[in-house]
Amino acid sequence: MSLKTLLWQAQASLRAAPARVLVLALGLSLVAGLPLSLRSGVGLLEAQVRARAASTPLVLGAPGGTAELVLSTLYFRGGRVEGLPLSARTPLLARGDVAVVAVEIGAQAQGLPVVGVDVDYFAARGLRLLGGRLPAVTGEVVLGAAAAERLGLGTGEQVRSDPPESADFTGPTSVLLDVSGVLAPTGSPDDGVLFTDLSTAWLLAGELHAHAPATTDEQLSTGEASAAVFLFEELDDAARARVHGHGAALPVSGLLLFPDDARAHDQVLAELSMDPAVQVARPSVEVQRVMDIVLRVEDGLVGLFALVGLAMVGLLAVIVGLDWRLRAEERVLLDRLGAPRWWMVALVAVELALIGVIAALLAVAQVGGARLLLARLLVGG
Amino acid sequence: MTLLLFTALACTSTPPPEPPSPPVVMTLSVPVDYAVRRLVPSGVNVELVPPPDADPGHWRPSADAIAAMQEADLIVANGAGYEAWTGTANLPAARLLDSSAGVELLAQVAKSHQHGREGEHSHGEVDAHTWMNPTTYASQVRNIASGLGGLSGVDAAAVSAAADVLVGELTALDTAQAERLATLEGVELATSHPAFGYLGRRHGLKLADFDLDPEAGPSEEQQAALAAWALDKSPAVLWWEAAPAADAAAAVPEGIVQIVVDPLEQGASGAYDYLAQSRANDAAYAETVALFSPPSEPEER
Repeated sequence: MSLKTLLWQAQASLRAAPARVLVLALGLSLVAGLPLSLRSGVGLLEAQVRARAASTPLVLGAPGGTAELVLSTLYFRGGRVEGLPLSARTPLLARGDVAVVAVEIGAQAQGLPVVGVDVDYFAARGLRLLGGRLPAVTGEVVLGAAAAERLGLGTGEQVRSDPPESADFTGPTSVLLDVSGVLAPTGSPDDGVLFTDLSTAWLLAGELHAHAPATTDEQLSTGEASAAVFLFEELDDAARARVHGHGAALPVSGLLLFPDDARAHDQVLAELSMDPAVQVARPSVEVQRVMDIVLRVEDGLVGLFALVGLAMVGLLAVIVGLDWRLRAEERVLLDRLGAPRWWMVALVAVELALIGVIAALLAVAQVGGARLLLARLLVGG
Repeated sequence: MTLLLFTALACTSTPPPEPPSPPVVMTLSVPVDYAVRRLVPSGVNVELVPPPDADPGHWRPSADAIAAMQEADLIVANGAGYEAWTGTANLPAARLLDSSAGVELLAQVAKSHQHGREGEHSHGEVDAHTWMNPTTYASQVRNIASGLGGLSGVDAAAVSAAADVLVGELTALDTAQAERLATLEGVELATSHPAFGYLGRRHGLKLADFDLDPEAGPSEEQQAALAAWALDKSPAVLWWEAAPAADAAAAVPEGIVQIVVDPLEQGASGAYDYLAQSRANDAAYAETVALFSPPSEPEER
């Protein structure tokens, strides 16, 4: 009677009742896997969200919820927020000690966000191109890596913007956008969106428009455009030349502010905080607020999982006890074959250990799967 | 041994860092290009983006040209809507210098229309020819000097000194123009192109634009409008933006005196020189002034 014999006998016993083994292993794996997945997922979420927030010291927006402003302009979630006039950018640019990047959220293409940004956004976020170039004219987009993968598109191809929800037929329409380039993956929300310039974002939002060419004699003689809005399927140079808006009144979702140093940060924060026409959000503070809630919920869930785990261990003890009784004949048989008295106890222990190993493997798979799923959810695309 | 040590050290030392590349300044129109070139010290690369003879009202850069502009250290525009294509070009706001910022822009009459949710509105709101008034152009020069002086690797003091010199020349030019045009205050003139608004505002001229093509000349409607305008004018004077073709000049109603005034948008002949071309306009101003000056009484013996 050796350990090898014991192992052989244990695996044979388990193979005889695979359903029972699977249920037990799955149950045990959930006891460990759920809290571990939760801890790991929250850790991943926290790391990514904090890194994003830390890289963006301040966000300026129209008065409203600061959390919504941060969620929208940093993570491209939550939809459109109240617009801030682009003219708010001018005095900030004139300071010279703060880099300012405008962001306009709201439009979509194939269900993915189309984010209008100043061209300096890419340098501020350290984004680099895998191929092509950044958008140069109205109607061009550059794809985040995950967005390019999901859409199956590359440089030189086209993607159609989603039609607006509004039924206003004089307003924006669905437009074919030219893909000017694809960005390298970063593992951040930048991967899952389409970036364009502000004019394209405004065009898709209906803030910019174009008039049909002059047709009547009076229009031709005065050189005046028709009042009819020109709805275009695709933007060529002629259509671009007709696109216009109304200057400083154009809105953006927010302005990302990157002060040169701590002094500039404090100065601009103090000045903007006193302006009732705007709200300034500190993403790291907003994220801390959200993470405090998330961590409290996580602690509650882990406590709940611990209770479920205790119940599971109790259930396992009942199952082992019942199994011990059911295997009375087996014990008698082993006794007749001359096995030592402890053999049956050792056999059950080895069986439980093997089930534990299977459960551990399943738990690792659960944690890995949860992290993978969460990573995709965080990136989007 | 010491020699060997030195040799070894020399071989293992890191190469000296490459000197920073000179700043690149891109200019979007000829008048601001002139100002930039007058202000920048040597070692700065200045590139005029549109071809020198391009019509700024219709020229548009390619997408690849705009992508190249995104790499510039500074992009200098006249602003005031002169480079209209910038409205649909993705240029870096922090490095795009609107030289007409802070200038009191001149509103243009534009017809209104209505569509969608915006209600009645109009476009083409301001006169873009800000440089035609030397004092306005001097403000643009100061803005440009401020932008250039902020560039890394550029001697801000040298830029400021050059700006002082240029502004001094512009002030002298303005004084000379004020003396020349003083008698034209309140006088009504016809123009072929809305390019002289800032000059008119500076010296109290009343300008009526007829939007005439120097090649094609006035249409029948424009001829009728010119004739109606000239009815109560004596003399009636039309300022052309460029020398009209013979047929175009002949199509202008009789009695209207035609004078060519350089709108300083491009080089008159060869390289652009704002000051030289402005001074050359003095002959046209003198010709206009002479038409409105009362004939001198013969001296009594």
